[in-house]
Amino acid sequence: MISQLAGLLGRFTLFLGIWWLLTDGRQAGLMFGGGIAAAAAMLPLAIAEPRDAGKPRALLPTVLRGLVLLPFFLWQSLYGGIDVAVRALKPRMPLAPSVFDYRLRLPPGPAPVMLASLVSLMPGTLATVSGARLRVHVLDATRNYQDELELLEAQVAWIFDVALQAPQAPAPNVWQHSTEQDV
Amino acid sequence: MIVSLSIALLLAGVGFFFAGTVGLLRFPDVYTRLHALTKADNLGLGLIVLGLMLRAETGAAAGKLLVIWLLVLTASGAASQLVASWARARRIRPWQG
Repeated sequence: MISQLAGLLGRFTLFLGIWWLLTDGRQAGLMFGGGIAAAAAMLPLAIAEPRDAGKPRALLPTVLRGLVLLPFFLWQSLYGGIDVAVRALKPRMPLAPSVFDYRLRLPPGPAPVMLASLVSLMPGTLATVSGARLRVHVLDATRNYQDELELLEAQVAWIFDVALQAPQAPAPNVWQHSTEQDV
Repeated sequence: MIVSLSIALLLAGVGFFFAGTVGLLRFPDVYTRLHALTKADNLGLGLIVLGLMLRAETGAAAGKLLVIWLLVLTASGAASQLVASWARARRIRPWQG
């Protein structure tokens, strides 16, 4: 109950802050914005399915934990941008693409999608969620990406406050080269 | 000082947009082109947003720019996943060199 209330207040503050940004801090529409923010903050109570066991997940802690890791993601994304820009501009264009499967330890839900988005900003990798696996397209097949992906997955699990589980995908244990295009 | 830093950031942002577009044109297949678009353009936009935030007149305007960047980041992450899944569903093979 307490955590629900905290979540409600947190969302309200967040949405009101966005309203404040969008209106350049003008006071005139604040009543209107406050009402909309309150309605938006209450919406999840109406549409989200009740959480079964112990762990309440509010939006705000997730956002805050994401902000803690933001510098790391920004740094990696800077490195990723430079890497691909250099490859694009070099006359002989060094590319050795390949596709790998990574077995997810994250439970299904928004977390794997977030992981795939982040992986796509990291140097040399592009990912889509495919069941309990992450299909990763890499620009440089000579490198090993397993450690980076495991680290990133652990960070996403922390952001969403979910526990990593044993990989659900039946596929092989480590990196497997998959040239066949199963969907 | 702030003005020259802002100009440097804007120019760097343009450079990454340029590199991303070169990648889009030169790279051999849909997957490698997605690499160029998601990474180089997001970084380019981030640098341009930073450069513009330094010139923003109000805090709210600076915050708005930041929110725009975060929204584009989210949208482009989702879009690149959608395009890649679409290509995979069409059984488009990755270019192997």
